[in-house]
Amino acid sequence: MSVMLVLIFFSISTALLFLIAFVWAVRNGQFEDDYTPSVRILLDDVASSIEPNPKITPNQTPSLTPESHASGQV
Amino acid sequence: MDQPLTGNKSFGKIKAESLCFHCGSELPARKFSLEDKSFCCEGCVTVYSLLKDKDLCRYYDITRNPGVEAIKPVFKEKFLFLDHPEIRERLIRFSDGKTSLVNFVLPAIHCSSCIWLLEHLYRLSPGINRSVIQFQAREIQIWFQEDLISLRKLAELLASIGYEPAIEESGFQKDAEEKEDKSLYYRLGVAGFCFGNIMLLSFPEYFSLANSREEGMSLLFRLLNFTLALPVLLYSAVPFIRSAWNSIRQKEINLDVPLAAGILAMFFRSSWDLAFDLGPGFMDTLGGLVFFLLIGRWFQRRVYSRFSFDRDYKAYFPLAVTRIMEDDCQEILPLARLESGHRLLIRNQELIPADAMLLKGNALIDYSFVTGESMPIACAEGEFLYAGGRQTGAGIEIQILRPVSESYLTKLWNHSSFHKNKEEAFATFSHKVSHYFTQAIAVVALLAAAYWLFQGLSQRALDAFTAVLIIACPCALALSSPFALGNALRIMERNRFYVKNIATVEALAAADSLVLDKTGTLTPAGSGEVNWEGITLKDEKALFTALFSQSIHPLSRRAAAWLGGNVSLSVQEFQEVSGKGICGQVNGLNLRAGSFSWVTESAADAQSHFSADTRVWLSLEGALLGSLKFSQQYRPALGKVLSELRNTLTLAVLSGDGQQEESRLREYFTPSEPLLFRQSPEQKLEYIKQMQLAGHKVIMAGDGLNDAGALKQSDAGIALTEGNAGFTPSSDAILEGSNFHLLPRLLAFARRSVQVIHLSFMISILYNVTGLFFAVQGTLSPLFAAVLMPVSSVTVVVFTTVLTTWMGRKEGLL
Repeated sequence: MSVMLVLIFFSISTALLFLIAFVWAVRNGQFEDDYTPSVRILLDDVASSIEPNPKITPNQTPSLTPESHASGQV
Repeated sequence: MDQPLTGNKSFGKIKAESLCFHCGSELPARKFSLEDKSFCCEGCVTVYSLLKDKDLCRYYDITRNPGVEAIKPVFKEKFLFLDHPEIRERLIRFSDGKTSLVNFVLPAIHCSSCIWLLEHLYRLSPGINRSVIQFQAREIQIWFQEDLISLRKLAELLASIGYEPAIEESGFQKDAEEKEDKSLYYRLGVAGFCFGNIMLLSFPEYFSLANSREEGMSLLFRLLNFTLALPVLLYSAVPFIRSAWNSIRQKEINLDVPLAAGILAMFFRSSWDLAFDLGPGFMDTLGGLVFFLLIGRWFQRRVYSRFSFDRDYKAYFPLAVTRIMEDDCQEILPLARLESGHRLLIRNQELIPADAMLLKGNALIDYSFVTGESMPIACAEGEFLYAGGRQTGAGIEIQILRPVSESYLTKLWNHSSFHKNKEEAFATFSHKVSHYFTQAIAVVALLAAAYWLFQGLSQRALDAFTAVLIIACPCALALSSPFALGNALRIMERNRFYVKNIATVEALAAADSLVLDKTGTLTPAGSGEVNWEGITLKDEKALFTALFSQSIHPLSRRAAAWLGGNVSLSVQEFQEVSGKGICGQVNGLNLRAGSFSWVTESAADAQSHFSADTRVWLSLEGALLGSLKFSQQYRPALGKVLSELRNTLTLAVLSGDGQQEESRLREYFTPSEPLLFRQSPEQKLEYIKQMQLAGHKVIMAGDGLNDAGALKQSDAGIALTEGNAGFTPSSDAILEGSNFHLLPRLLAFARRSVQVIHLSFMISILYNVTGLFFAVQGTLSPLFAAVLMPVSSVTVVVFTTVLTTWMGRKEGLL
């Protein structure tokens, strides 16, 4: 019956992987806007003579640092 | 959310050739042409040539006529305040010294072309690195280099292509909400993970697969179940337990109390059973319950990110003003630092931030944000100006008399009705029910326990007691209102009626009175009829069009549009005297337009020509031609709408305007229905309050800031809005003005949705009674509970969703 132990171990780890993936997706903001990406993917870019500016920023929302973002009180 | 991709412009049968290439509005007689394309105004031409210049014309391929209608020319100093370091600091969300990140709300975003253009902003300015749109929130995130483009220049760039950012005070406080936002997803994820695994591990027990030979295996399963149940109790179920605890402390029982009791009973009974090897426990029912409840919460939470329902006056006011110092220098002053006695410069189109006195200049104040009345009022030097008025015309100098929060209009927000929480005041159906429900459950549980104790079976007494709490846990009941009303909210949204939360649907259903504002509610904002009274105009039309085109006064604009001459003649010696009229020479002829005394050049007794309506007189070479009469236009089919509303509600009208419209308005109302004029914001609020004291449930519908108090005080406040801009005072629901005629059906639908909840409540009670039959005997098996709970929840969810959808169809809302 030790095969059961192995199976249970694997099934729970697999489920745990999915949970981690879900948490990552939420943190990454994938549940904040469920409309714009669906449009964006259909808008292919036309070739253009103007080159885009170098993209310096990372692909994520930067974490807000306390000194750069004031509390917002009036 | 269902978002129309093409915006709300209807093409109908109008040929595309007669529409502006940029914005799709109908071409006026005097159209603008560039290349082979026609435009409705100079603004549209400017944007088109800018985009063409930067090779961004794909904008026009994605959606037809995607541009923003009626681009208001933004006056030069509009975004001057963004140069102020204090304000810049608050708006910039992140800066590493080189690259900065800013979020702007752009109310004009409406189609996929908008997304495309705004995400290609980098082509318009080398200082912009990247921009990302959040369509539903109407928000843009821009990463830019401040040494190449300043925040102010960035805002001006957006405004120049028709997407003027709406920068308001309330936008700064979003971050805390976002955090709360995400924790619901985490809780849901954890509950789902635990529920799924517990269920799998429980199957062997349910089907008696674990026999004595595999004692160790069964013990392992139980241990795992217990471990997996811990995060459910300690993390996912926390909101319910916390809410139950708070409600007990406030000595009122909400629906979360029996839920929390059920959750705790399940956990401890199951732990007890597992510890003493009495059975498999109810851990999977616990996981399922919390999982379903969280789904209900998630469904219930409708966030209309593009509307903010709780705006106060600060949302309308500028963030900063231009102060004139002692030595006549100008400085930018954040609004919070404004004090009485300060001298301010108010430019064209700027708002007066606090009650003030006019020192210098021709003030022509448009109080439409305050009263909904669009005719500007001319003021003389030394006259009192109310906060919230907008200057039209050249800049004026004013002296502040009262601090911002003490001004006539803003004082309203100090009223007590702005400090109470409406959601807590309104007892929803589930709120009322849960009170009795909880008591009944407690009595049944105690009676069952007492009976078995009396029989001398203490273990069975404990079983029965906990089983009652578990089975009576009102999961289906807790789900019925989120799903029924959540679906109702969605159906209402399709009809451009945006309701803040599900409690508002119940408040709308419970109402017996409807109070309406006049301007902007019964009449569409900014429109009206123009009637000519006098000799028949022929060639004069072109002459006067030229004259009126010189003036930016709203009446002149409307007069020019009505006359509609498309010949552009030049005007000499143009003169405008505010409050009186305009004059000038066209083709060598002297033209005058304005008040009667101005036009006839006599100090004549204006009284004899005094009329209650708004008129502009015209004269040519000293001869009076006649007058243009401007009157308000009521919404189409108003009579029919009102008579439909009258079936279920008593009606009343509160207007801030004078009495001149009373006779016309009376045609739509019965003699017994009160029509009150010249109502101040406080009087409106007080009127609603008196009705409520008399036992009425009141809906208020209005649009101006002066209705804000009444909207807040009423049981359900509906704000009307015109177009995409969404300029509304704080309210519980927002209705697009063009759909005003749907109001009777929307309210009927709200009432039906509440009936659906009542029915679904009956269903969940039936399930509970069945379960209780076994529970009181102490013979409730975990398998039975594990099946009954999801079945009852699913029944209720399906029943409410199907029925509300069907009701929506019946009311013609789908």
